[in-house]
Amino acid sequence: MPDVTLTAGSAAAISLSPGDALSVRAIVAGQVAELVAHSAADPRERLSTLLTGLAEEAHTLREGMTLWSQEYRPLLRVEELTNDEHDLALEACTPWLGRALGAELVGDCCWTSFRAWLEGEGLPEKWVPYPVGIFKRADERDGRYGLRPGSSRPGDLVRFSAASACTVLVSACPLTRGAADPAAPVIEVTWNEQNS
Amino acid sequence: MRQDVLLEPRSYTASEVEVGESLRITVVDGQQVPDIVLWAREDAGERLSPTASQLLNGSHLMVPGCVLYSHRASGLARVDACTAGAGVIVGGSCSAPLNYARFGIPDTPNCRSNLLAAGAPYGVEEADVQHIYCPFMTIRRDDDGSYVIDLPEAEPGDYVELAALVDLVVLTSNCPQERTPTNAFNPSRLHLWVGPSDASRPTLDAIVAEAAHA
Repeated sequence: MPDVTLTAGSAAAISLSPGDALSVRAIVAGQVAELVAHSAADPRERLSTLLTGLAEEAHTLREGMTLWSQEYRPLLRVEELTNDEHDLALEACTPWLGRALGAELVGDCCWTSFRAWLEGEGLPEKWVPYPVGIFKRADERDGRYGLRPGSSRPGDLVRFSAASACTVLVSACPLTRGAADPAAPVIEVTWNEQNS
Repeated sequence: MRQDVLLEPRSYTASEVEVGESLRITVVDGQQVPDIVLWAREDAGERLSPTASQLLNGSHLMVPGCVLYSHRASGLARVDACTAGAGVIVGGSCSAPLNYARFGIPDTPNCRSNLLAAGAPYGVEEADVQHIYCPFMTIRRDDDGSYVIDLPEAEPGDYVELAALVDLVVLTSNCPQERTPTNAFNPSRLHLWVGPSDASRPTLDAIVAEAAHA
């Protein structure tokens, strides 16, 4: 079972075939991971959190829900989760936003990692999808809307299965970090190639 | 006056708004929502970012005084007025696939198609019209984890007004959604005006009178 451990500001790209499983697990409390998916057939067909949220009538992840592309084709399914606080509304974090919010950034922002993968596919940055913000929280407190520490506890996970051939990108968010040490492992990604 | 156009139900338009100018969208018949996409005319990479707008304003909704930011955290436009409800800002509009997912009906009129058509002279693609500002729309999160769209509050004469902070391209779809409460199940007319920020605006009576003569 291949796996990769991410530090904040690093990312992994995993190609999945239908039926393959992929898990994203928090190693430390408070860490957020951002996940996007692109169809293997055409990377311009990509995860749509808006279509997913409205088609599934959900603003967070739920067991059994499908993650859809903007063309209403299934990419992933949620098989298991140990925490139901996730975000389906916000864009990937960017270095400009991080600086404007006064965050101390380490490594690459999630948007930067997603853009780098797209560039390898010959596509410009505008094709970066809105991610699933795994363990990500934002709400209004004291009259001001803002990001909060991630909802993750050590060991919390979300397990997906691939509904179609796709590439999944997972980034350990440097904007909502669970560890002060930038070298500390914060997210583990594990996948299981059912068809191999 | 640089642009003065009645948007018939389900129609769309493109606008260019320069620094020192404003764009006003007026609800003509009531309970109607526009979907708006915008970017800096000199650099299409400076496009509206719902997330930057929400986090840098500290507001989930775009109320008067909020700045619409680009994904590079630059100010694009300021919301000078919104006389009904508040402005929702989201990552996507109604589309034929979304309508099919929700209602099982293929090829329905939708804002994504409208925005692509409005932006055709600028060579836009689907990815260019995924960041949406929706004044007057009423959507909320229910306690059971679902989204709920409520009837819009806007009455005839209500308007939203944006002041350009940089020269802008703005695409507007007069939302054709008729299967949700978004437009009270009955898409109707909007009026769009672009002109100097210090110019007088057309009144609802003048808009209706001109429409009657058209």
